[in-house]
Amino acid sequence: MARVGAIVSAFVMWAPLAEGTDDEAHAAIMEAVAGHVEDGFTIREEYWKGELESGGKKLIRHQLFRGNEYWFWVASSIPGCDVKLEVYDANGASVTLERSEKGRVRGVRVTPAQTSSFYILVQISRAPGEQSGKPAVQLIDWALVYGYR
Amino acid sequence: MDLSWRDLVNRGLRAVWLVALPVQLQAQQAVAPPLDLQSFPASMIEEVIVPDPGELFSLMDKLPGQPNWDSWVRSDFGKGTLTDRTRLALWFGTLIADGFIAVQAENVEGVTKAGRRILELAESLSLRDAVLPHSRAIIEACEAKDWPRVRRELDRTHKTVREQMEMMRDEDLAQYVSVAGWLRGTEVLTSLIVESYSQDKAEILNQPDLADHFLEQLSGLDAEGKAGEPVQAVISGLRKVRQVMGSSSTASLSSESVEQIHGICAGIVNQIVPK
Repeated sequence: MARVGAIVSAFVMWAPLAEGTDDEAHAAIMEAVAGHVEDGFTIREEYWKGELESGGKKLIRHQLFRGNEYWFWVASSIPGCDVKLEVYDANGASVTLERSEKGRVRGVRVTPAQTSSFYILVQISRAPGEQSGKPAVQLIDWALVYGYR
Repeated sequence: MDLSWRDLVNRGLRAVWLVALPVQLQAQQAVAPPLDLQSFPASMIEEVIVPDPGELFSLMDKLPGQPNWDSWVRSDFGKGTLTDRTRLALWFGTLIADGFIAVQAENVEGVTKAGRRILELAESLSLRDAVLPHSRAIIEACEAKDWPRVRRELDRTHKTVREQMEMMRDEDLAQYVSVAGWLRGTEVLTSLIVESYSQDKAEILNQPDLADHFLEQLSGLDAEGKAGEPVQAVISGLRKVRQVMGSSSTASLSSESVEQIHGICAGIVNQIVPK
C-alpha cells in the first residue's frame, strides 16, 4: 500500500499541471464572437479543445469550402498567454487574410481559393517571466471555434 | 522658394514611399512563413471536425440555379422500431441531415416532423432527456420561421448526442451518427448538383480527406460492430465514394462521377432508413 502511495505521490509530483479549463476558453470566444452572428456567421457548436505545454503546437486538419468565408478563433483561459493562430493550405502556404484580437481571443479570417483540406496551427506560450516559482511543466488549456457564412 | 521639376518629383516619390511603407510592413506581418507540413509530428495533428450539412447546403444556395430542396424533404422519416443501437445511430445521423434539408427548403412541416422523429429515436437510444430541449427548440424556432436558430439547434443536437454517446462509452455510435449524416447530405447534394451541373458546384464534393477520415474511424471500431451488415455496407460504400473522389485530376468531379457518388450514397442510406 505504501508503495502504491509512493507511486501515486511520484506521479502527482511529475504530472504536468493544468490551469483553467477549456470551457472557460470556449465561453470567452463565444462572448467575443457575438457580433459575427449578427453579421450572418453561423458559429459551429462543435469545437476543438486541449492542453499544450508552453511553446507547444497543435495542427488541425479541416475541410474548407470555396465560396464560404470563415473565421477561426482561439483562446486560453489563462490570461497573458501569447496565443498564435494561422491557417495554411495543403502546400503549407499561409491563407490567413485578416487577424483580430479581442481580449484573450485571437481570430483569423480565411476565404479559401479552393475546396480542400486546410491546416490550422495553434501555438501557445506562457507570458515571459511567469514560469518562476511554479512547477517546471504546466499545461495551458485552449479552445478553437470556427464560424462560416 | 523655387523648386525644380526634379525636386518636385523626388519629394513626391518620397511622400509615396513614406505612405506605402507602413502598408507594406503591415502586409508583411500578416503573411506567415510557409509551414513544412511533412515534418510536422503526427502526434501534434488533431482529428478533423466534420462540417455540418448546413455548411455545404448554404454554399449550394450561393451558386447560380435555385436548388429544389423541397423535392428532398421526406414525407416520412422511416418507419418501424429498431432495437439494434448501431442501426439506430445510423438512422439518427440521417435524420439530422434531413432536418437540415427541411430547413434549407424552409419547410415547416418537414422540420417539425424531423424534430419529433429525432426525439423518438433519442428515446430508443436512451438519450431522451438530453435531446428533449433541442427537439422543443427546433419545433419552436421552426414555428417562428427562425431558420438560423433551427440550424443552430440541429448542430447542437448532433453535438449533444455525440457527447452523450462518448460519456456512455459508445464512441462507436457517435461515429455512426456523423458518417450517416454525411452520407445522407452527400446523397442529396449530389442529386442537386447533377440537376444543374457546374464545375463550381461539383467542387463542393472535393472531400477525399473526409472520406478517408470516416474510413479510418470505422476501421478502428470493434470487430463485432464492424461485422454488422449496415456498417459493412457503409464501409464498402465509403471506399467506393473515396475511389471516385480521388480519381479526378481537377478539383471538380465530372457530372458522371457526381452521379456515381449519388448512386452509392443513395444505396447506403436506403439500407440505413427502415421502410
